[in-house]
Parts: sequence; C-alpha cells; structure tokens
Amino acid sequence: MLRREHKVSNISSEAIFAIPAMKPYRVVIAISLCFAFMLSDITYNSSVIVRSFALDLLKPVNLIIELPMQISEEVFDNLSSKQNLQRKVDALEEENLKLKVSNEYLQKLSIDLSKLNTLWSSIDIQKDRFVISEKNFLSSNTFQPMLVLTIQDPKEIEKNSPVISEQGLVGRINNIGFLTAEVLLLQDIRSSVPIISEESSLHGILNGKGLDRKGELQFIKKTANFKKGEKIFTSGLGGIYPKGLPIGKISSISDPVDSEFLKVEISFNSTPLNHEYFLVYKNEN
Amino acid sequence: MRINTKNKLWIYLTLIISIALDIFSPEMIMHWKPLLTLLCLIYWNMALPDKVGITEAMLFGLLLDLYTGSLLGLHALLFVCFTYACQRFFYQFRVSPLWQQSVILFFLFFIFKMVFTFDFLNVTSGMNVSDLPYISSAILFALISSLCWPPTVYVLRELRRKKIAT
Repeated sequence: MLRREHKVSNISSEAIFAIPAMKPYRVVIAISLCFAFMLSDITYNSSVIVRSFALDLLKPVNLIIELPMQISEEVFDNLSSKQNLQRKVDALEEENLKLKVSNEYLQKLSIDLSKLNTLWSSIDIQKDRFVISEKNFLSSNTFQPMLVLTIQDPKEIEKNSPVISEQGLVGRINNIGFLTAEVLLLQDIRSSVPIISEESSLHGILNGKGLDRKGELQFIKKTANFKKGEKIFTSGLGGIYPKGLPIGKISSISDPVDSEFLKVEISFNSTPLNHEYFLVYKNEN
Repeated sequence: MRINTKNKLWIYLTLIISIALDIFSPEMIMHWKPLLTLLCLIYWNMALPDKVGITEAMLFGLLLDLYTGSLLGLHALLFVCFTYACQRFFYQFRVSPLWQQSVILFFLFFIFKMVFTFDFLNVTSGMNVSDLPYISSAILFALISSLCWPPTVYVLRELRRKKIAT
C-alpha cells in the first residue's frame, strides 16, 4: 500500500481505518476508581493488607527468574567441587554478619559505659535474638522504597521488628506475609526514628527523604549544639527500636534564614542496595 | 482457542514479562531504568487500540503499585491517563516518524516521573519532595525510556505480525 494513497501507520505499516473511540464514561469511571483506591490507601492504609499477600504471589515468579542463574551456579559449583566449601563459607559469612552487628553494639555500649556506666545491664545482645533473612527484591520507588525479605517462618518475626545490616539499622518490618516480609526503610519518607547523637547526647527525630538521599532531623532548635561528623544512634524512645543501634552520621548542618529550625542532614551508614542478607531483631516482648 | 483469546494472551504475556522485568531489575539501574510496562502498554494502545484499553491499564497499574510500594492507585491513574491520551491521539501519533514519537514520549515520561514527587501522604512540610538530583534522574529516566521506544516498537511489531492475527 503506497503512503501517498492512504494514511499509513509507522508502527504497523498498515492503512489506518476508523476504530471506535474509547467511551468517555469508562475513562471517568476508571479515574474515579483510581482516586478511590488512593484515598482509601491514604486514609485507611488499605494497601498494606493486600500487598503482603500480593508479594507472596510474586515469590514463584522470583524463583522462575532466578532459576537460570541458580542452575548455572549449581553446575559451576558441582564442576569445580567447591559446593561443600561454599556451604562453609556461607555459614561463616552468616556468623560474621552476626558478629559484626554484635560488635557495633559493643562499640556503642562501651562509649555509653564510660559516660554513664549503666548500659551493660540494660541492653541484651544475644545472638539468638537475630533471624537472618535474604533479600527478595528492592522496589525502584525513590520516595517510598520497599525492601522485601524472604522469611522462613512468619511467626519468628513480628511487625515493627528492627532490620539490621552489618553497618547498622536498615528499617523495620512493616508488613508480614506467609513467605515474605516488607521492610519500611529508614530512607522512606514515611519513616521517623528517634535518635541520639554520640558526643552531644542530643535527641531528635530522623525522617527519611528517599533512597540514595540524606535523612533530615526534624524540628531542631537553632540553639542545639550538634556537630558535623557526629555519629547518631537510635535513642530507644518510642519502644520500636532498641537503644544504641548505629544509624549514620551528621553530614551537614545549616541555618536557613526562612526557618526557625536548623537543617541537620544525616548520611546513613546502611543502605539496602548491594546487600543480600539482613538480620531481623526479635523483640523481647 | 479463539483468535481473540489467543491475541489477548500474547498481549498479556508481553505485559507480564515487562512488569516482571520492571520489578526484578538490577538495583544499580533502578533510578533511570525505562518503565517497560508503560512502553508496552503504549505500543499496544497504538497498534491495537481495539484490543487493549482501560482495563489492562488499571490492572497492570495496580499490580505495579502493589509491587513497587507506591500509593495504591497512582500508577493505575497514570496508566489510565496515558491510555486515554494514546487512544485519543493515536491517529496523529501513529503516522508520525519514530523520532517524533520518542520526543513526545520523552515529555510524557518526564511528567510521569514528576507526579511521584507530590506528597500525597502529607509527610513532609512542603507540597512536594522533588529536588535537583531527582529532576536530573527524571530527565535521565525520560531520555532512556524515549530511546527505548524504537526497539520496543520493533520487537513488539515483529511479535504482533507473527503471533497476533488481526
């Protein structure tokens, strides 16, 4: 068919014939439905319930996607007779991860001990209280990033259990399905964490600003004496996070003229990117 | 199997593959990777507007909302708007050269990415959470998505010609 004779599609290379237009009432209904979903999510947080089960359904798809990689890994391991060694290395890595987290705890504890000499008795750091979880996937949503962990037994963890990597706090469990658990990351704009600074011992609330972005302390008075480079830890207030988990350090302090508060930015120690294993801390209660 | 059902199956298969690639994409490219689901949806809306429509846009939008952790209904709303725009203007869009289509899609994808900066949950003090790094990543995302449009067209066109009976 020649182009000069008919209007020809560049996509299908065929003549364009009349196709009945989309009915406007269907578009209006669809948009209204979308707004209804959004309002219900904003008001009642309705997506939380659906999402945990939806993520469970995605698990087989994840397995299918990972299958070729796993098969090639298995074949490689068998050929090179390193499978047993691999297992040992994995076990040692797991142990190492636990020890590193324990070590972070101990470092903070020793600082507090020199200051107050009381924290040894108040913080329990038993390794049995950690459950190791493998990352399923991390969503690409910048402002509300979602880390999904594979869990062995949903009863082992509970909502709001802190999630830790060897570098420090990562977030907390927000949602538990049968096979997966969703983590509310520190970087999420919905996240608020009570913190305490190492040297000045000042309290604050740390809010996330998105993945790969710095967090920000909220409502810090201009008289507050925070120092740049100072490490910050969880303060334990609020009862969700245990006291003393490392979070990050103060990367910048500025005094905006149009605000009555200081702008204190925090660079996070831990990021879910490029990490495969995380520890979920089981609360005593 | 009826031809219509078979056609739908092929269209749904491409959309399912693209959504799986969107969800399980490598982390190092997550901020600027093209949104394949939307590219596929746009293609099918342009190529076969009588076979793909609002239902598919809503369904895959909601799935993406669930699996990316965004506000439920936000992707669906944007997909529905894009579908409507595609179907409303597909006579004009289809006959334009591929580079022109890519330019139009660049602006559409930029707007798409910027919508996510609105603070719907009202968790920050301002109206939105956008800043220079985010705008840069949005431009990069729009650029790469628009560059991915021609390959998407060629791949899906081949599939359509071989597998989908019209």
